[in-house]
Amino acid sequence: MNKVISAVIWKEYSILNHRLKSIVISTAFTLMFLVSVGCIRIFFSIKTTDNPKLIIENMMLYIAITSGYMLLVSLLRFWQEKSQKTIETLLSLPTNIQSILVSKCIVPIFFCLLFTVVELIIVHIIFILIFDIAFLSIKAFVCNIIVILILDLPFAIVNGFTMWCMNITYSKMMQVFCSLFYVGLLFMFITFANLQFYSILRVILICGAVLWCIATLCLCLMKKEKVVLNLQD
Amino acid sequence: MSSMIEFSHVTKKLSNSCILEDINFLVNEGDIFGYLGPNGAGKTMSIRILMGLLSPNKGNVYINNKSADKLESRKKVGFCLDEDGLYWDLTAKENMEFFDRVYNIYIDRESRIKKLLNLVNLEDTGKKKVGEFSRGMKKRLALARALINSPELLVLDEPTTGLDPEGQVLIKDIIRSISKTTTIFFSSHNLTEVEEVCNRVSIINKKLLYCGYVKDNKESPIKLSVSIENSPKKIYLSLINKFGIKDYQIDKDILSINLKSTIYQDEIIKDIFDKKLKLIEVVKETSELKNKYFEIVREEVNE
Repeated sequence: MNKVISAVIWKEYSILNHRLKSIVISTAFTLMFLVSVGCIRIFFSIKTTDNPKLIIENMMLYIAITSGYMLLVSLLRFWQEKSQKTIETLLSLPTNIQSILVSKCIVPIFFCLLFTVVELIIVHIIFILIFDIAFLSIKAFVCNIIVILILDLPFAIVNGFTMWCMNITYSKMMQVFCSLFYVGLLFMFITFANLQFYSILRVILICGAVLWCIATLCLCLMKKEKVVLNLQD
Repeated sequence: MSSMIEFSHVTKKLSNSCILEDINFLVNEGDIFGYLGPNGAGKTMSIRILMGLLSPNKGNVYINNKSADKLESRKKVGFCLDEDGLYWDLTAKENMEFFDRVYNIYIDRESRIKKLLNLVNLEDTGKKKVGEFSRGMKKRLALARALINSPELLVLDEPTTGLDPEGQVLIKDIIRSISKTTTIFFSSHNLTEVEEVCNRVSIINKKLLYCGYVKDNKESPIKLSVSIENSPKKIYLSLINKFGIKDYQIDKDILSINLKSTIYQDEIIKDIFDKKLKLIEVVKETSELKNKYFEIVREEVNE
């Protein structure tokens, strides 16, 4: 691997490591909130369905995806490079801007994957205790991993592009637009609690394809000059 | 002597206004090259072009005969830009390690980092994060970080701005000591500092106004006024004896020294710090470069 890329990954890891305590605490509070929402949703749906396991599984996935999304947004540190004025030094390193951007995304995505898998295990235990239905949802784990692998990287790339290359107004608009594609699939969990695995997968793939198109365009348009000149805004 | 940096007819325009116009100069291997100009003259823009962050509209910049926008041309370049570029959430050692990982292999990493932190007197910062450092400490760390790849070229953008006199002396000492093996491109507002440290200088104000040697100026006499809080006369006399100063005057608490050149000036200030005395003021009356600078810049404004 290119030395610059591995150094940036190491740097991101070290910074997140220093913030680990606050990340764990905020994730725990997010999880508590989402589990409460999930439980209420299950309580209302469970009486009207003959397949309670499917509803519980979908709620597990809803919790993991929402929590993963919130965690990713808080872990991505593109704006900090601008606010701490490290961005010019970072871009002066002997590698291209696309490599720097992508390598900055890797550690947050890895943390998301790790945290959401742990969260899913915790949620399994909580739901077993509350609803007294014991099972291991492979579907929830698989879907969560697919979401993170397919959606997180393009979302992070678009996020980085907007933070570095656009002025603050357009940056916010672009992020809302991309968030819609990311969290768009969450709405279906709220609307249809009894969604089947292949329907979920189809939505993930469609949202992922749109996000990847935008992310590829962002990578093509990204230039060091654009970032540096945008610093003067 | 081969050229380390070449600005070849560089023009940079931003939204129709010309920031740099046909800039053309060479920095030779081994030079300590001062880059001067008033605010908004285009110094930082030139450095950004040199570091490959911006592309010129016309002309090109070469580092060691390779185009500056090529990644390989910057592998042996150390840089300390206007902002320190340090990560506040990391310790001094971690900041150093990040850049060491970019340029070097794992072997001897610990000793390399330790040696450079010693050089800038930051070896005892331990687990303190850089965000808690003073401005002077950050500047010193940024300089140490710039040296991590044993650079052939060191680009410094106002490295002593905001530093106390002790920090300024330290940084100038380091620059002098590494100049034997490294070419230094040094941008500053401080004419006296450039005169002390650099052997060649260029003055720009959107276009190149002057490029030449400052060596003759370095030998020019300067007046150094040192005022030390609660200092008995004998401390002044010990300083005078130590450096063999013949032309001096003690009036109340102020010691005025006329030096034939700037050679001893930093050593005198260092000696004051070594004696744990509180330095109140250093006033230097100089210099030919200062006169030349104002003459050139005023001439340009009048045109």
